[in-house]
Amino acid sequence: MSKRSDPIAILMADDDADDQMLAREALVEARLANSLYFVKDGEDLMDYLHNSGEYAEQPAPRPGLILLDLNMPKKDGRQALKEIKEDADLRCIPIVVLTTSGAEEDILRTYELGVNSYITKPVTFEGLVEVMKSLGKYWFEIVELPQDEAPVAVTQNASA
Amino acid sequence: MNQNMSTGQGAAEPTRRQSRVVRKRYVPVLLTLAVGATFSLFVWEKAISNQDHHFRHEFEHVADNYSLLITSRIESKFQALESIRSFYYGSKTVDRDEFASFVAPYFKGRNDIHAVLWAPLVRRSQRMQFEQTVRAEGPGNFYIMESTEEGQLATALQRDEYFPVLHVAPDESETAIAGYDLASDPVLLSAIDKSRQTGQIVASERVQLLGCRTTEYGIYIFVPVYEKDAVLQADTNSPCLQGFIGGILHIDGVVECALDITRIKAVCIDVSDDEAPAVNKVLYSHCSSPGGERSMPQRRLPLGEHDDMQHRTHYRMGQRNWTISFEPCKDFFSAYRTSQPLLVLVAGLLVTVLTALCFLMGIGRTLRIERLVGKRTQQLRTANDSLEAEIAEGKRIQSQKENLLSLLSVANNELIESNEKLSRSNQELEDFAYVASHDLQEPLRKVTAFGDRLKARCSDMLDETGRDYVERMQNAARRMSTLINDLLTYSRVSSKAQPFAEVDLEETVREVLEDLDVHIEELNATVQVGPLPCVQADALQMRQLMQNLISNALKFHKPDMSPEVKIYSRPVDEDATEATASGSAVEVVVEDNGIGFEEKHAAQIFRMFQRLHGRSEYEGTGVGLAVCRKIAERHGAAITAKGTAGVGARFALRFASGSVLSQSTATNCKGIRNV
Repeated sequence: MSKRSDPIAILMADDDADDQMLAREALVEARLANSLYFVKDGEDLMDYLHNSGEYAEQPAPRPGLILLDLNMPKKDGRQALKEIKEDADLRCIPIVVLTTSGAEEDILRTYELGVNSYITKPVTFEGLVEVMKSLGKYWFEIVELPQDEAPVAVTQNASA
Repeated sequence: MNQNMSTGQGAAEPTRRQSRVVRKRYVPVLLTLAVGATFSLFVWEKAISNQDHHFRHEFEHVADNYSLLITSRIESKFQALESIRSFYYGSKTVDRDEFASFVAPYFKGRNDIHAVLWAPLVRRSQRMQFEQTVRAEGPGNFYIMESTEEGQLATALQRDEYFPVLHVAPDESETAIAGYDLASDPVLLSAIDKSRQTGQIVASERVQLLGCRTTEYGIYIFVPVYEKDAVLQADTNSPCLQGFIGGILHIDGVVECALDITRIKAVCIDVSDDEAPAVNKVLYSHCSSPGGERSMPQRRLPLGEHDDMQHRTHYRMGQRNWTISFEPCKDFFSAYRTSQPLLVLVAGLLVTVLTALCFLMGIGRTLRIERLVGKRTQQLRTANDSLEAEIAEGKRIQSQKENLLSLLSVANNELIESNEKLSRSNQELEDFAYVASHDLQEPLRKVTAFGDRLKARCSDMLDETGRDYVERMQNAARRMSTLINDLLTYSRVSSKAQPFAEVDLEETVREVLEDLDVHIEELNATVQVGPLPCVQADALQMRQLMQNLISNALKFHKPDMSPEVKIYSRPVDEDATEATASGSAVEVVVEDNGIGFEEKHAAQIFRMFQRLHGRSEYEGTGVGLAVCRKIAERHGAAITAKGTAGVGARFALRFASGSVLSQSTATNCKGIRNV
């Protein structure tokens, strides 16, 4: 259980602004120091990861963990998941699906595609806080994550 | 022959042909008849001609016989006369008595010789002396006589020679003929002359006899007697001629004596003198017709071919040519006639007729067979037609079947399609319901979540009322969430329906009770489970149903009383006829001792969102029983509620006998379980 010197960046893909806000607040309540970056749909996500599109000039830090909502416009989480897990470079990034959908189909499909964990969004805020606590403990304290080659730039919070 | 006759022409054609064939058919018969008849006639004719030959032969034989008899008789007469001549030659003289006695035997019992006479030659010169001499010896009135034209005897005229009848036998003739000059009759004279010239016995023509009461005819036979030792010279006036012995023959008598005429039947005898003139030609004629009368000449009745059956014998006697002819009368052959030709004819005709009959029978049989064949053909045709009709019918039925099958398969396809559509729409419904509920839940979550944040972060800014408002907002959101879930559940009764399988209801109840374990313990509830049937059902839905009923039973307990829930089953009688092997219908009952309800609300409570109590009293959206009813309907079961306010409630789920797989006595259904 080694603590990293640089806190791992968490990238959250969710189209819902409220959910983004609640997630940030839950992280805070969970006393996790990780930086939280947001993308609002699958395309955005891929651009972010590939440093393409609007991220071409200003590359964003490579995330150590991706929280992926499934139901997003343009490109949904399932497609993005597939693409990420097919990408040699990106597939080693652990992805946790965090979605309102509790459908068995989704669960199965995403695990087939190689998702690392699947979490159904809790209904209550407290629940969400607990999830964040657990995530942080599990992924950042218990589990070993692969080291990145690319340097991680610590930036301020992207969204308010 | 049996053809479809569509037109009159068509009808006539077969008939004509028919009659032609019929006529052709009878040809053998007719042919047989013709040939047979012809042949029979031919054979008959042959037989008759045969018979003719036979007859002819017989007749010839008979005629020969008769002829012989006659001629021999005549011969005997000649011999008699010759023997008399011998007598004369043998005696010096012959006087009347000697003559008479010598000749007498020749008359005994016979009438063939009319008379025998001695006529010496008397010359003119000797006449007187001769007459005197004779008168001196015998009859006193002896004169040489001759017959006049009137037929009387008169004294003879002067002639050179006389041949008077000197001696005559029998005596009866004497007076008539004594002294009669034979030479006076030219017929006799010619015979005498001939006899003198030839020195032979000569017979005369037929002459009428003298001294007969009736007209009788006879033949004179002259036997010349010469001087003894005289040399015969063949010249007219032989000096040696003494005289003539004459015999007068009754030809009638000759024939009759010869033939025993009474015994002769059916033969016509003609004796005729060839050289005599017509008037004297026929010496004797007899036709023995059945009457036996002698009539001459009577033309016999010819029998066609018997016309020329005449037997002629040419007989030369006394230098004359006689013809003795016999002809058969028509009766002659009756003795000889056999029925042979007739028999032959009859037989032939019979055979012909029989053969023809056989042919006819054959034809008849053929006709019958043809008719039968025709009938059978007709029957076969009819049977064939009906068979064809049946085949056509069968084909029609087949095509109908095929139609039906194709219709069925079309309908089937349509069913499959609509099934697919249904499951697609079910799926769409489910998707919709899911998505809808999911998307609807999402804002609710936000409300709840931000409500919490509000309470957490802004508690110091909110007063009691503010917090109360937030609380109520969150409650409302929660309720909406529950409603949405309940709606989803309700819709999923059909959209997420699983196919039926064997469901052990006891097992189901057990699982439900496990789920509600905590709740049961909290309430200190008693649950009794009796034997429950196995039914054909959707396991999940049964679970939902039982869960609803049992949780209701637990929920609506009397405030100060622990709930007592009884779950059991009992068989019920539907129609007696519907009882099956698995038993009759079965009711699964959930009874409680809770608050119950009024009977009038029994139907109402099954309606969607219907509640009998406020939210504050008992929680719930009022969908539970609606879901139960929907599930029950899907299973073909009926759910009913009975309640007594303040006593309890009884919910009965009646499964149709078709759904019940086994009653509580089945092996996989356990016994009573007390919780």
